Amino acid sequence: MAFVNDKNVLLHQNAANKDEALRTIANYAATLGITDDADAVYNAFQAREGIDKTGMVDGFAVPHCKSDAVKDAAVNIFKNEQPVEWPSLDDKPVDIAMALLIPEGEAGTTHLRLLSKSAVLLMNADFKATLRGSDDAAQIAQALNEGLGL
Amino acid sequence: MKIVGVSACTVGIAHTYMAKSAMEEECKKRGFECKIEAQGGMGIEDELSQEDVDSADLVILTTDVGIEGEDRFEAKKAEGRFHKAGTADAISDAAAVIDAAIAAAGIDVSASAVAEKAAEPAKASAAPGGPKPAEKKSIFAEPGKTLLNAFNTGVSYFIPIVVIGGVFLAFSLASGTAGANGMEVTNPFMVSLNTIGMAGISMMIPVRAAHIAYSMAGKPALAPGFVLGYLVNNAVTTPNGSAVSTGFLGAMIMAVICGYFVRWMKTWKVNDTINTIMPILIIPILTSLVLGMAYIYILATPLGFVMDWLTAVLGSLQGGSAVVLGLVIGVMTAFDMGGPINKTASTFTMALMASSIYGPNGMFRVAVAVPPLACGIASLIARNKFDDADRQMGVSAIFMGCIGITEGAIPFAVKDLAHTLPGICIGSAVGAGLAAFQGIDCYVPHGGFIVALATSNVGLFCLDIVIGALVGAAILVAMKPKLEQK
Repeated sequence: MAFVNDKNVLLHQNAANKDEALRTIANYAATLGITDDADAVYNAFQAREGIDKTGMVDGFAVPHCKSDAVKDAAVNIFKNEQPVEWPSLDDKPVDIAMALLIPEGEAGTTHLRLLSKSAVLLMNADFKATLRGSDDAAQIAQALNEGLGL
Repeated sequence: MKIVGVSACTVGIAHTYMAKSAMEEECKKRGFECKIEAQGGMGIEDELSQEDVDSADLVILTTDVGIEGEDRFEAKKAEGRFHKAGTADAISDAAAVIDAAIAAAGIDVSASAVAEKAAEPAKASAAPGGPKPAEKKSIFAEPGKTLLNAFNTGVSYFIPIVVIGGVFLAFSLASGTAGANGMEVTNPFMVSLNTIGMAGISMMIPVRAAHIAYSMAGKPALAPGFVLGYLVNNAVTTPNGSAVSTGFLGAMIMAVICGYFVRWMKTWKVNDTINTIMPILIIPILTSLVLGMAYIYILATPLGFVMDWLTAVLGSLQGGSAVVLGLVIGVMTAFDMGGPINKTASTFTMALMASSIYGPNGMFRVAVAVPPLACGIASLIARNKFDDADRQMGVSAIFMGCIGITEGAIPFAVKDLAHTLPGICIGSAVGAGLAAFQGIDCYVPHGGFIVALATSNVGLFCLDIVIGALVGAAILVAMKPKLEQK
């Protein structure tokens, strides 16, 4: 079974800033049934943002939340129409976020591994090109699954 | 070139693994061997064994949090082959992290790797090239740095042993009475103390030899290093029938040969089955056999002659020439504050002790206490030339001086070698020269006030240390520039 499908990809978003983006991601996680408590997930995202920047380079970011409100480990891709200010390693604004939703505790290690592999994919130039170039949710989900070796 | 490291971030899902991947990619690009342990949300993966760490040229941590098992890297830290960065540093620019680590460790990357780096901008625009073949590093690469690291590592493991032996012996001998054969101890408890101290002293040379070899060639060299160290420190029967022990000098030479020999053995290409028993069986046995025999049948005789000659020359020095010897010993003691030159001086004095000549040891034991005391005193009296951090170091330096640990002066020398070295060298020379003039014997292989009772003249021994320290401190204060006002 694929870890990611087209439902995990949010395209053409119009967040005005990082907070809005994280709010949208958290709410969408509730829509998908990944959590029952969108506020807790949002707060967990913000808690991680408070520790250190999650923006990578070239407009990509990996916000992540670890919370017992997360029921199943999941990756959601979030593509915004315009870059928003987001503390990042190269100080560039971010328009593509790979949000990692991490359940609390050691359970489900295989899923945790998929999450970390997803993050590592953000260092792969081919994967980044696909992510940026494609407007097809299914294609993006497929690239991610392939990158994870699924 | 082999790099090992640990990657760890706060949550342990994203950055830990991204940094690990970035480091592995960059090493692959350079043709470096690389193993990065991840300490993340899934526990420890790709865990580094001590063997992995010991065989690495460089340890690089890419961590944002404290890690487990940092003690694995103690030896690499001591050698200056340890570098720490954040996960973000590695993710955004792993090349810069590796360059910084290489520069900090002072590693001279081989010509091929340098050429490759120079070609990098061109390569980046072209199609990505395949991984370069692993760089070949000669076992004799960077001899100066290797030996300096090795002697420093040897010394750092050797000092606590010396302290155990020296302190116990000092207390025990202090209770005795001076007799024909040095100090004679009668109290049963003090005799036991003496026995414990002697156990420490007899470990001294094996421990030192083992860790010199270990620093050069990693864990497989440790066991043969111990064996060879013990061998040279005890009498062996040479082909011409005489019993020879070569102590410090033999230990240093055999340890270095052992280090290179094991390095060489580690380059052997053997199949996997043999490979697993190389470090625990083949290397220790072959190294001990070949080098042990080489020592007994070839090296012991000439080394023994050298030791005998030094003993005879130094032992015959009296009066004016003794003072010259004292000055030389003093300068040697202070010059590298416990390094190889200092240990060469102690080698001589200890070899003479074995022949019941205690004078040079007296000079040396005065001299060892002077540098840290001089630095400490100077930092406390010249408040406009030393800052608060210096004064804190000064207090611990004084303590270390009192117990005869020259290394206490190192922090001052590291900070400002040019203004520190003349003072401590002259101070030590004055102290040792005075001791030579007065003919003070010291019966234990340790220095500072704590061994005063085990010298032939308690009062003068202490006085010489104090005079040396004050002279040294005065020169330090005079030479040091005033602190800049901020």
